[in-house]
Formats: sequence, structure tokens, C-alpha cells
Amino acid sequence: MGNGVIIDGFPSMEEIKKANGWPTEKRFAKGPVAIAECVQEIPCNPCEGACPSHAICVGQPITNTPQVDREKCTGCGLCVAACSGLAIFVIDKTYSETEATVSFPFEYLPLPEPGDKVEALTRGGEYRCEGTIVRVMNPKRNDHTAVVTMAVPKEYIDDVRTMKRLNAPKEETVFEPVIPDGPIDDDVIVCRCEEITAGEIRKAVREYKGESVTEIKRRVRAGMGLCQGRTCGKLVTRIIQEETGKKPNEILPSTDRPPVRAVTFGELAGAKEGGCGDE
Amino acid sequence: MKKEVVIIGGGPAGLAAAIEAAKCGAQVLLIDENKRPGGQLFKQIHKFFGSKAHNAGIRGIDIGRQLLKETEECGVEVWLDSAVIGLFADKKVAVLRNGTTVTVEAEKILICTGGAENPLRFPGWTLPGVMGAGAAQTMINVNRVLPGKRVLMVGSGNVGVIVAYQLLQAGANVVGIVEGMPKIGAYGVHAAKLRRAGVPFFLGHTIAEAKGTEKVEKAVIAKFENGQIVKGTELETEVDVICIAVGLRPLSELAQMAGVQHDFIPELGGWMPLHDGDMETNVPGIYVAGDTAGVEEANTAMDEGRLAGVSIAHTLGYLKDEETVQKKNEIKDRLNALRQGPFGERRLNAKQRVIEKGEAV
Amino acid sequence: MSKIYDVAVIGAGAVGSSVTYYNTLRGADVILIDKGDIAEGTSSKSDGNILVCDKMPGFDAKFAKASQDMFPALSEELDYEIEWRQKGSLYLLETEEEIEIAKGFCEDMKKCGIEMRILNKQEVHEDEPLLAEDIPAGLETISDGSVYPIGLAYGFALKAEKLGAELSLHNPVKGIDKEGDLFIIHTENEDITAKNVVNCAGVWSPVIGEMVGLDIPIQARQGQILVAEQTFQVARRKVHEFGYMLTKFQSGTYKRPVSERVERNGVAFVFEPTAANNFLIGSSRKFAGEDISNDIEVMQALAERAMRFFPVMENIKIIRAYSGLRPYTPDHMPIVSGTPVPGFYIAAGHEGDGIGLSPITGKVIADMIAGDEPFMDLSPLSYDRFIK
Repeated sequence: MGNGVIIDGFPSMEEIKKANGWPTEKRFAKGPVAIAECVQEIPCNPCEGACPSHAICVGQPITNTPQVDREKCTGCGLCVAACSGLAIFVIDKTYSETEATVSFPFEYLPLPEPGDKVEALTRGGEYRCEGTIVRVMNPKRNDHTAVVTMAVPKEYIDDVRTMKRLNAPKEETVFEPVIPDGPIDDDVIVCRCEEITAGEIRKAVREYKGESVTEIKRRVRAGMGLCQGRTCGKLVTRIIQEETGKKPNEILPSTDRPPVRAVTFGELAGAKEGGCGDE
Repeated sequence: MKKEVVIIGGGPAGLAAAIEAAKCGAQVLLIDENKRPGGQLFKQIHKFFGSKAHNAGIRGIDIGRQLLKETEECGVEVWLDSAVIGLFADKKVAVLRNGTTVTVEAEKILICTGGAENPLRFPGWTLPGVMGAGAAQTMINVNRVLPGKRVLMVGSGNVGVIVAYQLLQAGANVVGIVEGMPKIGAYGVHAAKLRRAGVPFFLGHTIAEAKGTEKVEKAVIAKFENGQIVKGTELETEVDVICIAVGLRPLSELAQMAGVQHDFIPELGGWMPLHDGDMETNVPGIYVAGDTAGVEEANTAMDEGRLAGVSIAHTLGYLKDEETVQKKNEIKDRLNALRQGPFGERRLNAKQRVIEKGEAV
Repeated sequence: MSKIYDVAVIGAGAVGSSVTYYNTLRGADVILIDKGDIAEGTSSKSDGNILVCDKMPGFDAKFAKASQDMFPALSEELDYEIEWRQKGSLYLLETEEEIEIAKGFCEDMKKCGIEMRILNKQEVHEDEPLLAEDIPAGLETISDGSVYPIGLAYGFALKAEKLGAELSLHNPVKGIDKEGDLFIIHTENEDITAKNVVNCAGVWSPVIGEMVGLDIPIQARQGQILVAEQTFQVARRKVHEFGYMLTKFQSGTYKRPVSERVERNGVAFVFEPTAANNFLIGSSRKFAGEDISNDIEVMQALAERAMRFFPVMENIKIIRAYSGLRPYTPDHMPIVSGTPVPGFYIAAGHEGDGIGLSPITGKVIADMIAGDEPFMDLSPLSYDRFIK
């Protein structure tokens, strides 16, 4: 199931189980338990310090994926708000006969209220079922990361990880096939200050033998304007690359010269220092 | 005017360096062109990663506040609204300040002017509404202005994905994230926040065109293979903002001007200044740190700043050899920790190359 | 056996490109060699003034005028847009003493066929309304003009290529051997064989000269320039100060009323509008080896001096400063001549006049190689004058 986090943008069950483990059904039966869904080796360990029961271990190096000692974990949820990646959840399968709860980090205003009926969404943001808000924890120490506890039918608890944000737009986003009819690339402006197009830069490479950003600049003025090529330098490099097949490390950037911020004659000359010719 | 240490750029690297050097007793002048220091920290409303020593779990904006407080406490002189316009021979720093240009002669200079967002060329990229992700982030988190209601994000690296999330928090709708590579660039946990919110990723796609007369009205995306748009795969949707998050490059104009050797290091953003293990460049007394010394993230920037601060304090005689070694080792251990794992490894190797080349210069 | 060129030109600045062009026009088989790009050295770091007004009456002025007269036709002949504009130039006179000297200068120049006239206070302010109110007079030179210097070099080089010349760029010359009547030029890419060699390497011409045992007394002299943003018309044409020329010509006897900062850095006010509606501000001179970094104090002095003549510049932005190396000779005149090494020519040392003098330099070198009589006696430009 799933293509994994670098394709789907959220981890598959296999990735989670491999990287962080998964509580046994026996453990789920005992009450709430934390589940980390942090499957990549990234340098981060606040969860480790946040757990009052010392149930979370990252250790050294800090790029280790977090491991939850499910026997020590009390399901208190402090780690949920402490995780910078918003990737820890608390699952309580003992909430009721038919429902389980998921406690998830939530940073969108407005916050829901207990009792609200909300749309419960999966890791991929798909609607799964209706959820009922059980609790909203947002003490100061959470630093604006509210922990929302939502009840959903038990069969959805492995999938549901959040609720639809209350300010979400109503309209659907549609991507429709289209035949492009825009300007051809030769007419696209590259240097905004001097209004030099990609076509002119290509000509400077092909006909005028420009091979570096400076050489192009001297030939067609790209980069000679107010911003001194700070915006277009990279774009010119790209065109030289496309035209000559050179590698980017073979294409020298233009020479930087003072002033690196535009300065007026008055500002540069300074407050009468040395006089102004009337000494 | 003479100063012992001039630090150019008051972002995370500059602040951390200033504190470190000043605590040891060095006379430090920190120059920033903005109205308040902090660099990009003040628009980072998300909680930082890393370990406790890196302020992990604390939002960037609060780390910024903390650093500012320490800067004041340890007596760093701070010039705000002051733009360095050039570095000249004999470590002269020309600063535009209060409407006039003043020249400061420094014994040591640290350049930490950060990075600049890369542009992307496509038909319509000059239309109002096409903007860098960083610019959009400043609008929502600093100026509290929503740049638009329907946003297409181009680039799935950490910057694109974090800004997309913050746009959602600010009330915008992110219609999708386009990524030219066949996989997501950002940390999975960042991507997962967007997927839970229903935002689709279009992998192996690119922006083909921004349409509109006065401003962006529609975006056309298309499949992207071998550096080319696949004709016939174009899809169009209505948007009013297109954010570009296709990486950053080190801002090192001042270093280049000072004669610092540069090299092309693709993993760290392209052309960048070479430096040694203590962040010093081939020009004696000129140091670099943070994104200027290769684009990484704020935690590494702060630690690189501290490393430069310690090295500077040591060479100025404010720090004994043993203390210096101990401090440097602590910082280097933390930097190593940040450069582990599949995301950090490339940067770790690239950085080692930078240092090897920098020490060979 | 590899190809034998009639002429190998070393140095693809404005001068070398012109030498290539005019030799090619005369039917010679020419190769133009440069260690870098066309116009990469001095020609891309200079202004584009084509002046006669700053020449000494006599040979200097006549030679410059002959070159200037070639530009209108060149702007038609060359395919690349060289942005030739002939709007005249204006010297600003600051003091009574300057006015007196200017009157005599004006008369002397007229005798050389150069049209100049004194503008009184009213005339000079009508001519340039944004001028500082106290400026008492001006001296106008009718025929002066300007070009895009880089464009001029491209124009010559690319047209020459079209007519059959070869360009060998990014190809440093490593050494030169002479075998009989032929020169073997060892370059990074290949050995090039030629009957004649023209050393147009400007600041770097002594290095090339040494390869054939010639001592060329050219030194690099650094000049800095400020570039202003695109803005309204501050002045309609080239404007500069007469006083500085006096300090140059009458060394020591005339002292300008300027600040120490301006004096110390040898800064003279030179204003040049560009075709793109920017303007350039010069100038400074100093010997600094091959250093082309800018100096903050020179930049400040340039800005200060510019505002003295056009106070309106105060709020105009400077977007870039650059500096270039001018090939200086001890007597301020270029070397355009043959040498004791038969077939080896020098066309270098034009200091700040290389752009303006490039057409005539190219033409007379082509004449010399073809064995034709030059249009005037060129002995003031001979290499021999420096042989003790």
C-alpha cells in the first residue's frame, strides 16, 4: 500500500512499522499510546526530551528515527505538541465500544470545539468519515500547537490522522488540459531591468560568441540595470548551458563590483567630508 | 573609524557569531540593512528541528528574540538600517548609514549576508503575482498580508513546502506543489502536513506558463522529462499567486569583491566562497558563515556563526588555546550531527570538499 | 605545414580589433588572438568618448581628428551597433584664469582645423540648464562624439571575421619564435605561423614585446568610473572640466580649486551620457600595478566632484563602479609603428584614447604592413623614440 513518503508525501504503513514500530493489539487494549510517524533520518529530537516517562528514544546520532517504548508510554500526548514535524499521534482504541480516538497536532485557526462534528481525513487528506471532537488542548507550553482529540469509528482509526481545517476553501481545484498558446520562449524577458529577452541572449551566444555571464552582459546589456544582474545572472547561466552544453561550473558568474546596494551621489560623497570644492 | 570585528548581516549566523565573539571580550560591530536584525528568523513561525542545543522545538521567531536579547546583554554594537556597499583593500567596510557613507576599518570581518532565491524562466514569470516563496513568507508572517487566495507552489524542497503550509495557515488555498524531480525534496514530515491538508504534489512536473493580463490569473503546468516540457501534457488552473521555491544561492558579492576564492559547489547552492575549518577564507581576517558559506538551514548557520566567532576571538587573543579547542570541538560535533542522515550527508560531503579546497588555497 | 597568416594580431581590444579589420579589408589573411574575450581588458572598462578637445594642438590633435572623422562611416560599415553619436563636447571653465587659457587654446586648435568656441555664462547655462549656477563659462568642441566601446571592438572583430579573418579567443600567447621571415606564435591551443605580428596587447604589450626581445615602456595606469542609473537627462552630451586638462598639460603651474580628497586622488570631472540613458562619471588616475579593484575614497571623490558641477546628481543612484587599466607611455602618446624586429609592429599605449584612436591606428598599421605611405608623418608615434 502506498508508494512511500518521497512519492506520496506521507509514509506508508510499511515505512512507519519499519522505522518507528507499531503497538501490539495487546498494548492498544490497555489504553492510549503514542505513535511516531517519522520515517526519515532527519536531525531532530525534541520528542525525546518532551516525554515525562522517558518512553521516546532518538539517541545518537540525532538523525535516528524515534522509537516509542510502548510499555513506558502513558499516552499523555505531550510529545504530540512537542514534535516540530507534527508527526506524532496518540491513538486510543479503548475510547468506546465502537469508536477510537486519534489525538493530532493542529495549527489552523479557528480551532474546533468539543462536540463539533468534523470531516475526518486520512494521511493523504482524503475524507474518510465524520469525526467528533472530544478534546482540544492548547496550553501555553504547547506554543500554539493545539492537540485535538477526535473520535471516529474504530475501523478507520489506522487511516485517519487529522480533520479538515475549518477555514478550508469550499471551491474545488480543477486542473484542465489545455493547449498552450503563450509567447514563445525567445520572447520571454530574462533581464527585467533592461528588458532583454531569451532570444537576444541566445543570439549573443550563437552569433556574438558570448560564453560567460559577463560576456553576455557586454554584448546585450543583460545585467547592466539597476539590480546589476542579481536576478537574471542565474537565468543567463541557464541559457548559456542550454546553448553550449557547458556545465554550470564552467560558466563564470559576472564580476561583483561596489556598490552592492545602489547609493546616491549625495550619500556616497558623504556629509561634506573633504569639502565640496569651496575650500 | 576602527573596529576589531565587523559582522555583516544580522541573521542567525551573524547574531550567533556576534554573541560568541563579544562574550569572549572582542569589540563587535554588527551591521544589518534591515530595521531590525534577525534575518529570516523572524518569518520562521514553525518550530525548528535539531537538538536541545540547537533550540529544537522552538519557533524561529522566538529563537530570533532570544538571540537579540543576548546580543544586547553582551554589549554588541548594532547598526541597523545600514547597508554595506562594498569591501575595499585593507579590510575597509563602506557603510551607507543615516544618508551618508562611512568607512570602518576592521581587523576581522565576518560576511554572513545569507542567500538569494533562484529565479525560474517561463512565459509570464514577470507578471505581478509570480514571486519568490521567501517574499510570500515575509508578506504573510511579517507584514500579515495575504499575497493571494489561490497559490501554486513551484518546488517541493523544505522552503516550498514550509511556505505552502504557512500560506494554508494564513488562510490561502494552495492548489498544488509542482516538482520537476520525480520525488519530493522536503523532509517527509513537512510534506505530510500538506498532504493531510489535501494539497496535491505534481512530481515530474514544472510550471509551463503564467497567464494573465495585468497580473497572474492562471497557471499552466506540464510534465517535465530530461529538462524538457512534455508537449500535450499541459494542465491549467486558476491561481492568483505563483510562488517560486527552486533553491537559493549564497550571497557572496562582498566576499568576491574582497578577493575570496570561490568554487562551484552544487549541493550548497552553486558559486560560493571557499573557507577553512574555522570559517576563514583565503583572505586573512575575512570569514564567512551561514548561507553565504553554502546554503543550508538556520541551525547550521547559527553554529557556523559561533565557530567563526570563536575563531575570531581566539586570533584576537581573547580566548586561550585550550578553551578554543574545546569550544570549536563542541560546535563541530553539533554541526556534524545536523549533517547526518540522507538529507544531511550530501551537505556534509560538500562541506568537507569546501574545507579541503579552502585549506589548499 | 600549417597555414601561414599574413598578419597575426595579438590583443582583441578596440585597437587590435581595428587592426584586424583594416588589414582584412586590404586583403590580408589575418588572425586575431586574445587570452580572453573580445574587449575583455581595457576596452570593456573605459568610457566611450571620441574626443579631439583634450589633445595638444599640433600632431596630437590632427591624428585624433583623422580618427574621429572615420566614425560616421564606421557606424554604417560595421554590422554591430556601435552607438556613434556626435553631439560635441563641453569643457566647463571654473575660474577667470581658466577662461583666459581656454581662449588661447581655442585659437590654437582652430589652426589645426578643430572647431571650438567659448560659451559665455548665459550660453553655457542655456546649453546645460542643470549646471551649477556659478559656472562662468564653457568651451565647446563641435565634432566630439561617443560610442559604445565594447560594441566598437565587437563591430571591428565580428565584421573582420565575416570578411575572412579568424578569431582565436580565450587562447593566451605563451611565446613567439622567429624562423627566417616567419613568426611562430605558441599559444595555449596551437602554434600559429604568421609573416607579420601586431602587438595590440595594450597594458600587457610589454609581456608580448619581451617575447621578441623588445622593451616596451608601457605601464598600467588605473582609472575608476561610476555608473549612474537610467534617469532623466542631466546633461545632453559629454561634459568635463577644463581645469584638470590644464594640470595635465601645464604640470605644476595650475592648481584647481578642489578639496584635498579630489586632489589626492587625481579626480577630474568627466560626464558621459550613454545611449541607454545611464551616465558615466570619471575620472581618476593612479599607478596600481594590475589592480582593478575600486577604492572607496576615489569613488567618494568622483561623486563629490560630479555634484560640484551638477548638484542635481545628489539624489541620483550609482549602480556600479568599475576600474580599468590604461596603457600609459611616458610621453602620453601611443606607439604605432614598426620595430627593430622586421615584421613586428606595435599598436599600443593609447592610455585613455584607445577607443577614439582605434580606427586610425588600425588603418595606419594596415598601410605600414602593405608598404604604403602613411597619410601624415607618424614619427611622434614611433617605437624608436624610446630607444636610448
